[in-house]
Amino acid sequence: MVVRTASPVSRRLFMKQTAALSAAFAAWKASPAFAEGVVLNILNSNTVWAGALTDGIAKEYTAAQITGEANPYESHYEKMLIELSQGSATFDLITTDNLWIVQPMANGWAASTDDIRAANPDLPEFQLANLAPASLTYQQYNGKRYGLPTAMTTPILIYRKDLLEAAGLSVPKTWDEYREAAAKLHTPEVAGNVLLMGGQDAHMSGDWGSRLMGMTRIEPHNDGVLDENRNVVFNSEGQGARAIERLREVLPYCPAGVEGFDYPEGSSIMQQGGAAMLITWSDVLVGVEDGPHKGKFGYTVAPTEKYEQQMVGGWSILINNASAQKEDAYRFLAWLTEGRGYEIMREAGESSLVLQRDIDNPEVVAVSPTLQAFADFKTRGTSPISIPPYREVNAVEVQRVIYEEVLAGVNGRKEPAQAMADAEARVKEVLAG
Amino acid sequence: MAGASVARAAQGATRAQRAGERWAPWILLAPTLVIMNVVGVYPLLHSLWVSFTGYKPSDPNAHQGWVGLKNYAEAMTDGQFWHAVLLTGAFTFASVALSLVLAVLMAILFNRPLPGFVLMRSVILIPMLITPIAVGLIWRIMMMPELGVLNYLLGFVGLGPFQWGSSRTTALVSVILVDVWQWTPFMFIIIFAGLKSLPRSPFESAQIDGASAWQTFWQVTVPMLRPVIIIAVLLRMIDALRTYDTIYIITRGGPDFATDVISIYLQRVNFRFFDLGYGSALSWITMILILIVVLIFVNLTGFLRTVNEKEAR
Amino acid sequence: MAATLAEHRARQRRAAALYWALALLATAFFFFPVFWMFASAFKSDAVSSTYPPVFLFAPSLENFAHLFTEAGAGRALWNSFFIVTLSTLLAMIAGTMAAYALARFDLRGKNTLALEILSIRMLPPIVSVIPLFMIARWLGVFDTPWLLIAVYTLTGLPFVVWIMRVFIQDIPQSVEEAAMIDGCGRIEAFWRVTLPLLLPGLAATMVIVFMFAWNEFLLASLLTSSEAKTLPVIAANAIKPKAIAFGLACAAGVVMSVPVIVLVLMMQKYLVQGLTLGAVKG
Repeated sequence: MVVRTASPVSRRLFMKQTAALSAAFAAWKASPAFAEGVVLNILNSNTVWAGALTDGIAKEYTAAQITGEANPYESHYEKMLIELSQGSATFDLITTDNLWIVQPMANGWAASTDDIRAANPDLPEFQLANLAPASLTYQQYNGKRYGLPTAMTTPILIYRKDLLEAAGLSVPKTWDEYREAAAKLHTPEVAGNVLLMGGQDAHMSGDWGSRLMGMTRIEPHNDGVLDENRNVVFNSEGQGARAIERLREVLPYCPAGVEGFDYPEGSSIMQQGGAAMLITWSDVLVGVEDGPHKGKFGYTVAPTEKYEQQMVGGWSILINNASAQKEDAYRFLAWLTEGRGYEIMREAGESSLVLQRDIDNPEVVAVSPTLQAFADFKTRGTSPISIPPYREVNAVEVQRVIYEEVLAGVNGRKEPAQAMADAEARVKEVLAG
Repeated sequence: MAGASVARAAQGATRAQRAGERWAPWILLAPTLVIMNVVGVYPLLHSLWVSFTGYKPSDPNAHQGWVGLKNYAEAMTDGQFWHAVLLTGAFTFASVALSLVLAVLMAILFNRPLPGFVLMRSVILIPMLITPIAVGLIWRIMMMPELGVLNYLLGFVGLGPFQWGSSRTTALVSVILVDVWQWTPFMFIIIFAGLKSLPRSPFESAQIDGASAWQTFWQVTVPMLRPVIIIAVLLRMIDALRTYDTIYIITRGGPDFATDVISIYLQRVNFRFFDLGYGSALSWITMILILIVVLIFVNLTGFLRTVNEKEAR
Repeated sequence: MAATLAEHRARQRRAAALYWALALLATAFFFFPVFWMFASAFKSDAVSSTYPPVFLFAPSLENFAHLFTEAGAGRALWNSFFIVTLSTLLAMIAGTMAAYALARFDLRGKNTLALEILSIRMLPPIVSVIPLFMIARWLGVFDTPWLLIAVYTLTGLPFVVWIMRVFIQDIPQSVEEAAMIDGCGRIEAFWRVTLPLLLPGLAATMVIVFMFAWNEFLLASLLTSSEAKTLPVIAANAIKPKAIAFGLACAAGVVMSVPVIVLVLMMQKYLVQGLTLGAVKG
C-alpha cells in the first residue's frame, strides 16, 4: 500500500504563523495608555444624546475626561443590573431609562447628589431651574435627588394633515373623535391608525397607557398603575378594562401585521404613508419626516377620555455609589445643569430636549416638531404624570405582566374585565416578591 | 495470504506497543479536561447553588436566601415555561428535519464537477457565517408585511402577501424558515466533508453491479454517511434547542407567545425580571431536558454502539 | 452503436442542465438575503426604507464610515480577530488530541466522558454570565481578552471532539499501524498519514468553531467594555431603543461576515482535497 508522506502543514508555515501571532499580540498590548487625570466612565445608551455625552460634551468639558460605551436597549438594562448589583466600579455614571430608574435608587446602587453635596458644601449647586420641571421628578427618591434628566419624551398623536383635511376632520381630542377619524380615514391602501401590539413597552405604556392616563384623576407623582403604598389601582374604576375596549374599537382600522408591530415598524409605516394616525412616544418619531411625506405630518398631545393628563418619560443619568470619583461626577452633573451640555445634545440632533429655554424657543420647535406637544401642554392645560409603573422596583416585570394581559384582552383571547382581573392578581404576586 | 499473516503480525506488534502506552490517551485528553474543569465547572456549580436560593438582586423585598426546592416546584407548574418547552420542541424538530433533508440533497447535488459548482458551494455556506443579530434584522425587514421585499417579490408570482412574523398563525413557521435558511449550510458542510471522505470502491462496485442512482443512494451512500449525519443532527439539535437571537429580533417571542421559545423565556426571567434564583432552576431543568433528548437520540440511533464498534477495529 | 452513444450523451447533458438549474435555485435561496444585506449596507438612510424596495441605486459609504469612525469598529475588528483566532486554535489542538484519544484508545467511561464534553454545549449561556462576571472581576480580567478566549475555547471543544472523533474513526487503525511497522512512532504516523486524510473534517470543524466564536454576543457584551469589545457588540448597537438603524446594522453584518467568508474560501481547498486522498483508503 502506497502512503503519501507529504505533510500538508509544513513546519515553516507553522513558524511563520506563530511569529505573526506574537507580533499581533505585541501590537495589541501596545494600545495607547490612558490619559492622566480624572476619567469618568459612563454606562451609556446608543441614542443621539448619549453619543453627544461622549463626543461633543466630552470635548467641551475640561475638568475630567469623559468616556463611555454605547449599549443597545436591553443589553443596557442587563449590564446596569449586573454591574451595579455586583458592586462594580467600572462605571462612574449610569444612564437609565426612567422606567428602570427606581431600581438603582431603591437598592442603594446610586449615590444621592444631595448627600454628596452635603458632605462637601464647596461643590456647586445644581441649577435645576434651567430644566423642564416634568423631567425632574424621576430622579427624586425618598425626598432626595439622585441625578439629572438627559431626555424627556411624551406620547404624541402624529397624524397626516393632508388626509385629515381631505376628509374634513379636525384633530381628534377625545377617543370617540379618534375612533371616528380612524374609521373615516381607513382605506385599503392607507390604514386609519396603527397600534403597536408587538412591543411590551410600545403596547403597554404607549397604546394602553395613553388611554388609561386620561380616565381617572392621577396626582402628578402617582402613575395610575400603583399608588404610593404599592396598591394596584389600574382597574379601580374599571378604567383598565375600558382602555382595552378603546384599543379593540380601533383594531379594525389597523394595517396588516399589526400584531407583530413594535416601534420601528410603526415609525416606518407612518413614514411610508401606510397609515394616517399613530400614537407613540416622541422619540420614536425621529426619522418620520425623512420619507416621501415630509412636511405632511402634524403633532399634538394624545386624545383623552376625561382628564387632561399626559405621561412624561425619558432618560436620566445617575452616579454609581461604588465609584471612587463621586465628587468629580457631581461636578460634571452640575456643569450640565448650566445648560451648555444640553445645548450640545440639541446641536447633535437630539429632539427629546430637557433644557427649558430650548423647549420654549420657537426656532428649536420648528426643527423638532415633536416639541409642539409640550407647547400643547400649556394650551390644553395638561398636567404631566409619570410613566406607569416606574415607581416599582420591578417595573419591567410589572410592565411585562400587564402587557401580556392587555394583549390577551385586545386580541380577543380574554374578555377585558377578565384580563384586568388576571393582571391585578399577577401584579400582586410580583409585588409580593 | 502472505499479506494476511504480515497484517496479523503487525496487529500483534501494535497491540503490544499499545499496551505500553497506557498514559498516552490521558495525556491527549488532558488539555480538554483542564479547560473543561477550570472554565466550565465554576459557572455550573454557581448556578446550581443559586437555583436553590431566592437570589433576586434587584428586589430588596425578596427573600434572597436558601429556599430549597421551591424554585423547582414552581417551575413544574409554570404554564409559560412548559408552553415554551413545547414550542421549542416543535421548532427544533421542524427546523432540524428540514435542514437535514435539504443538506443531504444539496451535498449529493454539489458533489459533481460541474462548472461553477465550487463557487456556488462557497456561496451556500454564507448564511451560517453571518452573525445571528444581522440575520434577524435582515429577515425582519424583509418580512415586514407591507414594506418588506419578500411580499413584494412574491407578489410578482401571484403569491398573496403573507404576515410572516407579525401574525400568531404564521410566526412560528417564519422563524423556522429563517432557522433552516441560516443553519442548513452548517449541516451541509459537515455532510459534504463526510461525503468527500468516503472511499471510492463501494461506489465503483455498485456501478459495476448496475445499481440505479436511487439504489446507490439508499444502500451505499446513506449507510456510510450515517455517523456523519448523526453527528450533524445531534450538534444542530442541541443548538436549535437554544436558539435566541434570531427569534428575539424577529418576533421578540410574540405575537402573543407564538414564538416564545425556552431561551427567550429564560432571558426574560433572568435578565428582565432579574429573578436569578428561579431563572437558574429553569436553566438547570432545561439542561436536563436537553440531556434527556440527547440520550434518547443517541440510543435510538445506536450511535455510540456504532462508534464503539468502529473504534475497536 | 453510435446512435446509443449520442443518446447517452444527450441524456447526460440534460441531466447536467437539470442539476445546474437545481443548484442555481438552491444558491439563489441562500444568497438572496445575503445580497439584500450587502445592498442595504450601501444604501443611504433615505433610500433604505422606501417602498417599493429599490434594487438599483447610487451606493453610499456613509454606514461604513459611521461604523469605523463613531462606532469604533476598527478596534472591535482587531479584538475579534485576536480573541477568536486564538481560541479556535486552542480548541482545535486540544479537541483533536482528545478526539484521537477517544477514537483510538480503549478507555473506561469513554462514552460518559464524551457526553460530558457535549454537555458543555447544552448549558444555556445565560447561567454562566454572572459567575463569569464575578470571576472576571475577581481575577482582574474583566474587559481583557483572556476570559473570552478561555470561554470560547471551552465552547468550541464539543464540536471539535465530536466531529473529529467521527472522522478519525472513519480511518481504520490499520493505516496507522502500517506506517508504524515502517518505523514511524505513533505521533509521526498521525502527522504523516492520518492528518492528511482528516483534512476535510479539520477544515469543516475549524470553520464552524471560528464562526461560532466570531458571532458570539451575550458573553462578549457583558464581559467587555471599551477595551476588549468585539464586533457583535458593535453590530448590536444598530438597535436603538425605539428604532433600528437598518443601514448601519447591514453594514456591520457585512463587515462581520467578510473575514469569515474569506476563511471559508480558503478552506474550500482542503475540503476538496479529500477527493484525491479517498483513493488511498481503497
